[in-house]
Amino acid sequence: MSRKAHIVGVGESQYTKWGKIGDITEHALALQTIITAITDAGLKVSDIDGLASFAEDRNEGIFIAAELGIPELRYSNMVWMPGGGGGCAAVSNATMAVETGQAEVVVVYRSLCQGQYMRFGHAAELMVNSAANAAEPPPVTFSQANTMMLAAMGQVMPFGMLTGAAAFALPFRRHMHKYGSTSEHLGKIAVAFREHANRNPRAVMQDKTLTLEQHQTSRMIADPFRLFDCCMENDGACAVVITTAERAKDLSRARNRKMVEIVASVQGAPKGYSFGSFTNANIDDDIYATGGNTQMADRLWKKADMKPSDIDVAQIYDHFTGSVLMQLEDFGFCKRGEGGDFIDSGALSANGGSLPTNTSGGSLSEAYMHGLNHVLEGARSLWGESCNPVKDAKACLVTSAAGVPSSALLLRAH
Amino acid sequence: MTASTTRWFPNSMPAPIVDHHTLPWWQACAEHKLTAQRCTHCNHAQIPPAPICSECHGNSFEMTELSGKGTLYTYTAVYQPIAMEQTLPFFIAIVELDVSGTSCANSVRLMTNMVDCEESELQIGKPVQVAWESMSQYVSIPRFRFC
Ligand SMILES: [Zn+2]
Repeated sequence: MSRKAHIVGVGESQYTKWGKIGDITEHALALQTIITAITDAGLKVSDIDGLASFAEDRNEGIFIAAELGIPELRYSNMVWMPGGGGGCAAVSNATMAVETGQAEVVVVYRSLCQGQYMRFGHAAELMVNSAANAAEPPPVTFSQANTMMLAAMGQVMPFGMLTGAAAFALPFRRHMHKYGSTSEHLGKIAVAFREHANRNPRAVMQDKTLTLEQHQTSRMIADPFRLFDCCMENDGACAVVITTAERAKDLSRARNRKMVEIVASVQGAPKGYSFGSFTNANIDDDIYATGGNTQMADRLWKKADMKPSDIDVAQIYDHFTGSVLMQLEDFGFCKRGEGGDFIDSGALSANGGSLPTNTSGGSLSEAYMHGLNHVLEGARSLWGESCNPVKDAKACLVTSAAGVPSSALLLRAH
Repeated sequence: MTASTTRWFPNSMPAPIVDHHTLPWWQACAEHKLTAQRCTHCNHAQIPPAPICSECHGNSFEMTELSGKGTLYTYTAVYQPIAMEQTLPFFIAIVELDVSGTSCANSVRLMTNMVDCEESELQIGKPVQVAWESMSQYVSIPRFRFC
């Protein structure tokens, strides 16, 4: 099929700890990174006719298109889904645009400088500060929600539910109760990804090693999640270029790269999920102690006519270590409840593991770009351009967040 | 509002943000009544209240008062402060609420806090009961303690 969608270029800015990118705005970084990615593909900015993003990226497509001087914007899309669940869905939207002929070249981008706006882990800190600065404490009373998200969060915030660490600790605590998974399993995930990052010059944590003992003695954030179970808060941007097989053929040849086909993509949420673990205490019991992606995973394998054992390398969304463990089960790499044993086997290591995972270091150790950097690494791992190469890798799974509505991709090299 | 002097959380904790549908639930809380929104057509119970029943799509409801008893479903001990002068860690929990003696067709869970306990006492499956905290004359919050 000559319009089948392929990834033909990737680009990113420097990734830093939050607050370290001060000489350029998040907005300018979005533009620069799109130009980097389109250049990597061997295309020109004037070839772009579609833009897609997610997670309420502040840099809206219509303005970005105008500033880039794109001759005609033919497709512009923002995933209607919260946060990191939407990364693969944005790629999926680009895929649909290209395959249905709405656009020829779609760039998916995410620019996120938490230092320039709000740090995700510190919503609570802002609230404490605003209360401290009030001249006189206001009486405790109701306020009116003006969005559905605020109504849903406003129901749980009085109980202190404000951060991802607390939201995703709840289902993982129940997973520990049901299946006996442990904090040490989580530590092994953090250590495996850090070792990958130590070989990746793009990684924020390239120069910092991590041992299991350091993980086990790091401070508690939201039990069972310790500091090193939580993703970083970063500044940076990244972008991916999607186009048709027909165009990808010539571009890949010019770059001496294999073609990376988007074999299948899915997005979704279980029944009644809303904002998942953040707001929903009533997720069905058989889904509660999971990553919430089981149904979506089954659809993905079926659509691609592939199975977990076909996968050579995986990029699994890692806002928290526990979400990786549960997603390994969701996607069928092991049985439900056996994620801990799978991790104990050393599976995740690029150094001889059966399922090299997050070969860039992921959100825990490369950068937190809401998981779009996982898509970049997915393409690189199939081009043989990863810092942690997996020999002859032909198929890669990329997932977005667990515990909220999410999405996933299957990539294949040929 | 029932007078209550026990306080576990400071006033600087986030207050409820409500819409047309959730306000009645919080108004019942202010009277120290723990309720579920029950569909009068199929008896499906839901918290928080919503515009329609997710099972039969009916829009006729009653706020059914529950016993305030339940069991601990899951929990986390949070070590980051949410409010000024807050005791750490504090415990966010999900409690499976007992609906026996009501017409509710299903049990329903609530996100809440465990209070009056040590972290080492938190154990999934243990029985709990509601403990009301009056934040003001308008707002009371249902926390839970072990029975
Ligand atoms: Zn009903």
